[in-house]
Amino acid sequence: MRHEKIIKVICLLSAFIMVDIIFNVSPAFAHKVNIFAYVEGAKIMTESYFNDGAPCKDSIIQVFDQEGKEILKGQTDIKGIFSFDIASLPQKDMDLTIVLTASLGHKAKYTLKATEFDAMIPQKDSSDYNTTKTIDVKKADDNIRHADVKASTPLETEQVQKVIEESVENAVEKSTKSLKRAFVQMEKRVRFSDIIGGIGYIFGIMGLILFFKRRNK
Amino acid sequence: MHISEGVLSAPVLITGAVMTTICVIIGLKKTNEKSIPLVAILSSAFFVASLIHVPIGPSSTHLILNGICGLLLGWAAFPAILVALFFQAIIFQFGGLTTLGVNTYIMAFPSILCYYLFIFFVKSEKKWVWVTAAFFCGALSILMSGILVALALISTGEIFTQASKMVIIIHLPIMIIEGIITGFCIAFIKKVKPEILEVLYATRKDH
Repeated sequence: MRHEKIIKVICLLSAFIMVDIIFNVSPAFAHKVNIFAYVEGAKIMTESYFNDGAPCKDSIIQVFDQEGKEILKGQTDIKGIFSFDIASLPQKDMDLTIVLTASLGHKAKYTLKATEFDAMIPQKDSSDYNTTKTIDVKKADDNIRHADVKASTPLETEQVQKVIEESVENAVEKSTKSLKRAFVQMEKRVRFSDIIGGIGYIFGIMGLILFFKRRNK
Repeated sequence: MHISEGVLSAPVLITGAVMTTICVIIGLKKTNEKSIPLVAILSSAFFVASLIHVPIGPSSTHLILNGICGLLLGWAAFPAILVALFFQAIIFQFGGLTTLGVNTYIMAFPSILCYYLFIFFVKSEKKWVWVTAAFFCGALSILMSGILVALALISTGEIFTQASKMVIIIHLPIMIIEGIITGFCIAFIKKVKPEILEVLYATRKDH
């Protein structure tokens, strides 16, 4: 009779666990903070949020270089966003580690590879192009007209190509931004299989302990 | 309320680890074989409870269930919570492995303390006595966990007076929810197997 009652208690608690799980089958968010960063134009944007999507307001952001030295420090705004210019970095060809420190002892880290923001540097070069172009056009003025056209066309095409490249980069960056965010969220999501796995491990340990205790009798 | 890696200073981490080790050894010695399934079940419930999310204002927090763990397990709550936190750290990256000692102490110490404070009243036959006791046991466990979190953060050296106030305010709704859950659990146990509460089931020597 005693065993029946034990089984009833165990069933109640198991039911409680099952109810927990059922309510959490869809993306079961819980107790973590996340940060991810991306390039937008000449700036690096960082977004900080709790796992349930709520933004991390007024939290500290620190940017470290590859050697672990702090380069920048700032605070997230009311939307959880903190941004800084790429120009304010001492070097442009290194990986950045961005660390978020939120309230109650939560921390999160994101590594932004140098390759992601290298592409934005050409903006400086295109202005150089402008000056060389004007000099060449002036020189071509002395020559025959159709020669002028021939002389300036290769430069123009190259300029146009640069502009197109930059626009495409910007457009791709914009469309992948939401993809990246979704990917980071999915990666950090709590999966149902993880929950079942964890519970399995707990019962596995229980089984092992019982096994060894029996053996010692 | 799991404290992440790299937030606390080494002295705090070591203190937490040492105190947790002592309490876990006490807990393991006092647990007898037949109650190990109960310990495992409560450990699993604790493991899953952290996934039940309650968003409150600027921050958000989760259920803890250390009240009912304390009432049913007593000292065995320490190993139960340690195991659950360990797997949460490994599988979900909640909290960290260096902070395992501190986090376990933060969650399990209120369990054993509230056990000693409230078990006499929870064992009572009068309905309103044990309902109130169960409610306050659940609520007080959360409050004490919050206070311990604030203590750990302040001892690390950060100026956290603002956060300490926030900790208590954030956890008020959870305190109420946990109190109610603890109340329901005790109500069911009283109906089905009240012997668990008479002499602590987990540490009974005679079975």
